[in-house]
Parts: sequence; C-alpha cells; structure tokens
Amino acid sequence: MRWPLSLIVGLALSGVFAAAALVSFVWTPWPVEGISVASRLQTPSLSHWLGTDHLGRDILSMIMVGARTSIAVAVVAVGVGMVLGVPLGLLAAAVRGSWLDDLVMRGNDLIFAFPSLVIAILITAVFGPSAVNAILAIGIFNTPVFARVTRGAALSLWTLDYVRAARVAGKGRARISAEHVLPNIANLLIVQGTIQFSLGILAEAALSYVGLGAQPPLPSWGRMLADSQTMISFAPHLAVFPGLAIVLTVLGLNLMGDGLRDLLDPRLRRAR
Amino acid sequence: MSGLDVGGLSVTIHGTAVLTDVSFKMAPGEILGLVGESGSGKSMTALALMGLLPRGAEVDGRAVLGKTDLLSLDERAMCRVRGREIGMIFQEPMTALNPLQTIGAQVAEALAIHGGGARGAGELLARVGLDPDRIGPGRYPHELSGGQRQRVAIAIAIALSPRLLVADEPTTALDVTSQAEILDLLCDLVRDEGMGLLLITHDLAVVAGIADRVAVMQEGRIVEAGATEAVFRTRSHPYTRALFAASSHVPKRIAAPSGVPVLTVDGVRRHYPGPRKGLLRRGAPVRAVDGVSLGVGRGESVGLVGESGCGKSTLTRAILGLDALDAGQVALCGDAVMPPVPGEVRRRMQVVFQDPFGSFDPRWRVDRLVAEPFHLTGYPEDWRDKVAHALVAVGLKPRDMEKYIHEFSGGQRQRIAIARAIVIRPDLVILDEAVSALDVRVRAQILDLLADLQGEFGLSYLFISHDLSVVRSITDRVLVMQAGRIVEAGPTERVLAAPEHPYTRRLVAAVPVIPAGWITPQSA
Repeated sequence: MRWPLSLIVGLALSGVFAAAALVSFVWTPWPVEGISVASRLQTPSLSHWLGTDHLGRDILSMIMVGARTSIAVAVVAVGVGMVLGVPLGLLAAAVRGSWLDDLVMRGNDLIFAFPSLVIAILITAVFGPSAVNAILAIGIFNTPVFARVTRGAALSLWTLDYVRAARVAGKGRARISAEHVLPNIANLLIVQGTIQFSLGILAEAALSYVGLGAQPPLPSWGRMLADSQTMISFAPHLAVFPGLAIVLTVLGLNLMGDGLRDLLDPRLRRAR
Repeated sequence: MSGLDVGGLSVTIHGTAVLTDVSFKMAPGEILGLVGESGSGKSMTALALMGLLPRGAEVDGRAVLGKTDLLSLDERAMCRVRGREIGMIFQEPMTALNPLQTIGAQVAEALAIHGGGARGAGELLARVGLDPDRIGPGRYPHELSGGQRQRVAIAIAIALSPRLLVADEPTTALDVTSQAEILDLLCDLVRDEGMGLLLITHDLAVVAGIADRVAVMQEGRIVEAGATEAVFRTRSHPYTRALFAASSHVPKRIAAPSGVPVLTVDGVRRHYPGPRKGLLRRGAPVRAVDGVSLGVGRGESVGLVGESGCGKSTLTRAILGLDALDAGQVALCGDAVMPPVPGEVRRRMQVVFQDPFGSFDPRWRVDRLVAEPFHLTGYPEDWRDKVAHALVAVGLKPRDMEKYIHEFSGGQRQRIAIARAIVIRPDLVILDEAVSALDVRVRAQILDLLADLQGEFGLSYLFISHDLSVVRSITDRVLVMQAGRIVEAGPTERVLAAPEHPYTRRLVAAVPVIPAGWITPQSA
C-alpha cells in the first residue's frame, strides 16, 4: 500500500527533531551551560550555525536540548492523558446509559469547560513552576479528549455482533473491552495521540513562555522565545529559530496524524 | 423503437473482467428481471448504464436508450440523463434519503434540478401511495417506515417520468408485506407510465411474480434469457437449474424431537420507556415483548417469525440473558436465565447472527474466534483439537484455524459462526436470521449443514426470521409474532398451509411464490 505524502513529510519533520533531541544527549555543537558574554548576540556563522543569544550560548545547541524538554513533556503528558482517559472512555461505553457513564462524561464536560491554559497556569502557580507540574497540567487536559474519543468509537463497536457473541460466550464487560474493543479502536487512538502530542508541545512552549514550564538552566523553546522578545528589533534570529522549531514540529506531527488516519482508516483507504 | 438496447457490454476494473459481453433489449413498458447471486455482475450492469462505475473501470460495448448511446456520453451529458431519462432505486431505504430535509423538499429537488416536470411533489407522493393527509410532504424520513421511505425514493425516481427505471434489490431490505406492496406499486407505475423497469434481484420468486422477461447472470455473463415463464419452465442452463434447486431446497432431517423441554419462556415482558412528552413526562412505555410464552424441546426446531419491530430481537436478547426482564421467566433445562447468567447455564446455549461480516473480530485468528465460548467451560487441554473437529463438522479444514476471518467468503464465515456455536456442545442454538444474508445456493448448503448437525449432536434450534420460506423448510413448529405477542403457533405445515390468525394470513399471502405449475421437476 502507498503511504500518503502527508505521512512521509510529517514523519521526516518530526524525525529530524526527535533525532536532534536524541543526539543532544551525547553531543551538542557547544555546551548549553557555557555562558560566554564575549561572544553574545552573534548572527549565524560557521562556528555558531544559528548564532548565539544574549549570554553567548549557542542557539542550535539550545534548540537541540530544548527539543528534548518539549518532547519529554509532551510524551509524558499524552501518556498521562491516555492512561487515564482511555480506560474511562472504555468504562463509559461499556456501561452506556448508566449513572457511571453520566458521571464520567459530565466530569469530562467540567474539565472541557475551563480554558486549559488558564488552569495549567493555576496548577503551576499553586504547585510551583517546573517541568513536572507542566506535564501534570497538560496531562489532565488530555484526559477528557481521550475519554471522549474512546467512548465514541467504543460505542459503535458495542453494537456489533462479535461483541454480542463474546457476551454470549460469558465474557464480562471489562474483558470484552480489553480483548475486542480496545484493539479495534487502537488506530484511532494512535492518530488522536499524534495530534494531542503536537498540542502538548504547543502547551509546553506556552507554559515556559510565561515562565511556568521548565526552569533555567534547562533550555526550552518557549523560554527562548520569551528571552528574545526584548531584543527582537536588533537580534531577530533569537526569536526566529526557536519559533521555527515549534512551528515545524507541530506541523510535522499534525501531518503525521493526518497521514496515519488516511493510512489506517479503511473507509478512506477505499476512497483513494 | 425507444427502449433500451444493450449490446456487448463489457467492464473491466483494474484489468479484472467483471462484465463480459452482456446484451439485452427492453421495450418500453416492459419489466426485465436480472437475477443472479452476489458478485454475478447484476449491480455492475446497472451502474454501467448510469455511468456510475467505480474509478479504474473501463467500459466497452453499447447501451442505447432511445437514440443516445449512454456509454459515449461525458459526465455533464450523463448528469442530464440521470433522473430525466433513467431513474434509479436502491436497496437501502434508510440511507437513500437525506434525514435533514422533508420528503416533499427532496422530491421537489429532483424536479428543480431538471427544470420541473409535469407533476408537483405533492402529486408525486400521492401517486406512490403516500396519503397526503397522513404522510404529507412536510414529513421527515425518520417519521416513515422502511416501506414508506422506499415509496419516497420511487417518487423521486419517477419525478420526471424517465423512460427507464432501474431498481437494484428494491425490496430486499423490506418486510414481506411491504415488499408485496412495493412490487405492486412498481408494476402499476410501469403499466401506467410506459417506462421500462430493470429489476435487479437475487429472489427468483420476486421475478416470477412481476417480470415479463428474465435474464440470469453468472460471473459477469448472461447465461440464459427469455420470457419469464419459458425460462423458469425449461431451465436450459445448468446454473439456472442449480439456482432453482437451491431456492426450493428442503434439507433432509432426521427429526427426532423427544419432547423433553430445553428452553421454556414463560410470560416474558420487556418494556422500554415511552417517548418524552415534555420535560418530565413520558408517554406510555413501549411494550416490545408483551407476555410471550414458548417452549423448545430437545432435538426440535422451532421458528419464530415476524416483521421488523415485532419484538423478535428484544425477545432474542432476553432469551440469551443479555437484558433483564420486566416480568416472566426464561429457563434452560430448568435453570433460570437471569443476568448475570452463570456460566454453567449459559454454556448450554449459543447463537449464530445474521451478518457474516460483523460476527467476527477482524483482528483474531479463526482458532481463537471459534474457541471463544470455551471461556464458559474453561479451555480444555485439547481445545485446539476440539476447534479442528468443529471446523471439520461444518465442512471446513483444520488448517483454516491459522487464517484470519477476511480470507473467507460470506458462506464460509457463516460456517465458522456455526462452528463457534457448537464447539462447546450446547443444547440450544439460536439462529438469529442466520441464513438471511446468504445467496440461495449457499443458504441451501447451510440449511443442510444445520440439519446434519442436529441429527449428529441432538441440537435444538430456535430459528428467528422474517423469511417464511426458510422457516418452512427446516422447522417442526412455528410461532408468529406481532407487536410483542405471539398471535399464532402450531406445526409449521399447518400454520403455513392454513393460517388462522388474520396477520398470519396476510404474511403468508404476501410471500412471493413461483407458480406451482412452473417448477415441476425437470428430467434434465
């Protein structure tokens, strides 16, 4: 089967940033903690490919290490959302129409009702700004998304004959959810996970932009943007490169999500 | 001549031939029945005429309607022909209409696209038998029954008095009584309006009832064609003979009902909350099953017949112990079936569903699928051998265990469903429309298989079906259900030959039959 173009481009873009994050563990062009006021605010050159910031740190090295932060926060946040949301969605679908279903779904609505970033700021403000609290805040807002997607897809499966056959075989709702329902909605969850992942990266950038994400000296794309804003008139490259990193990663992940959906959804596959 | 003349029509899709040299002629006002099994190319012929073939299809030959060759038209010209010159009716009335528009608006749309016809939307709806006082043009599709929706679809198709009406299985999704009414209506329209009707169906009896001429299709070719009665009487082609034999097939049964009750259903009621009538009030509850009692003895086959909405499915779920009852009792060999049903009770009954495609988890292999009921008994040491035996018993091979379900045809899947039902040796198998979705020849094989298995394992069957002809050939007793109640019960032959209740009489009368004189056995 041919892979959709969006999947190839998306994989390539996300792959570049994932590779940069991995490489940063063993090698960066310059040490990111290396403050060297003498070489501050350099424009891109052969020794500093993307220039240096106001403390003389190498921008490329900071973007590489920043990718590590962004990806780690987004991965764990999406993981938290999936681990909490998917079982809740499966539960709600399995007991459809009961008070438990109502409880789960209305709880979801409650979380949806608050602007996520505002609550994330509240959480980090109360518990202190740190990467861990940012993960927690983003994870909580991923939960209802996964719960709702899971429930919707699972409900349509519960009407199918093979689920009825499993009930006639005496299997309980929990077992059917694990054996029949979850494997058959996994495609959808992978696609949704990719898209939530890109939103997670954006959210992390936003939180660290307002100073509530990863703390110095750990570099992060959002804080690089925040630091650059006073110098944007005379050192625009400080803002452009981390900004590009965010845009390209999010674009790559969204394209990958679209591509995966095209690849995995049998209805779209037939239409192509 | 202003009829349809199709000659040498061939279609290939990505290099695979799906139609080969299909030729037929239709005079105005004539009904041509196109019969064949699934995959024989019936629908493909209709789509080729309408210029609606899937992408990658290549067409060859001619299809002349009046003076225009339909196959030579480009998409723009074809758009003018569709609706104006050719009307089409599809199988599924539930999805053929837009749920957000009134039926009047949808008929009017067909008129507006082609610049109006001789009649208005209201008149057309009245013409197809929708009483303006009861089912006016302001109704929405969800307020209508399947038969009524099919009438709306017909009104749209005939809005501009096309010369040719193509009906692809127009009554397959309908109950027998609606089917009879829709067939009457189609017949009537063709006679009145002088349009040709190309009736595509798998049901020989439907064709026998209304078609002037018939063409039998097999593997993309027309193997036999001619006046309906002549074709049906002579059956010169072996495929036609095979179809006939299968459609009137009666499996050999070693009937030995012992009278020991396996299933007893006693005064079962199942109600649903009524429709909302405001914020807090609800209407009277809907009595889906209203005091039903029945029994099935060991080795006995009992049919439960009724039209959609009569409560069959609700009753089935209640018997399977999937839903709680509002009143009454279901017992299996004397043990009550009440959710949560203990495994010891549940293991004595299994079920086969209608849809061979939805009955299996596509991600499981056949061995795991068939073995699923072992969950009730605990997997024995030799469960794989038992699965292999069950597969052999239904006519498949032990090595089919290694395959996934998409590698099997509809008939093979239904065999696998039966293997799954018998692998733990239940006492009772509930067959929920289990052969309704199958082609006639496959259906005959499955009915034979069921009869054999009954003799071999002493199974009892509860056949739930809307199709009287299936029930006739395989059951000892039949129960007729209407609006949640059993209105008539008795030995199958007696009930079908001399129905007592008016509803049963209506059902029996509505079943299309091939005239008895046509089907005297051939000495071929």
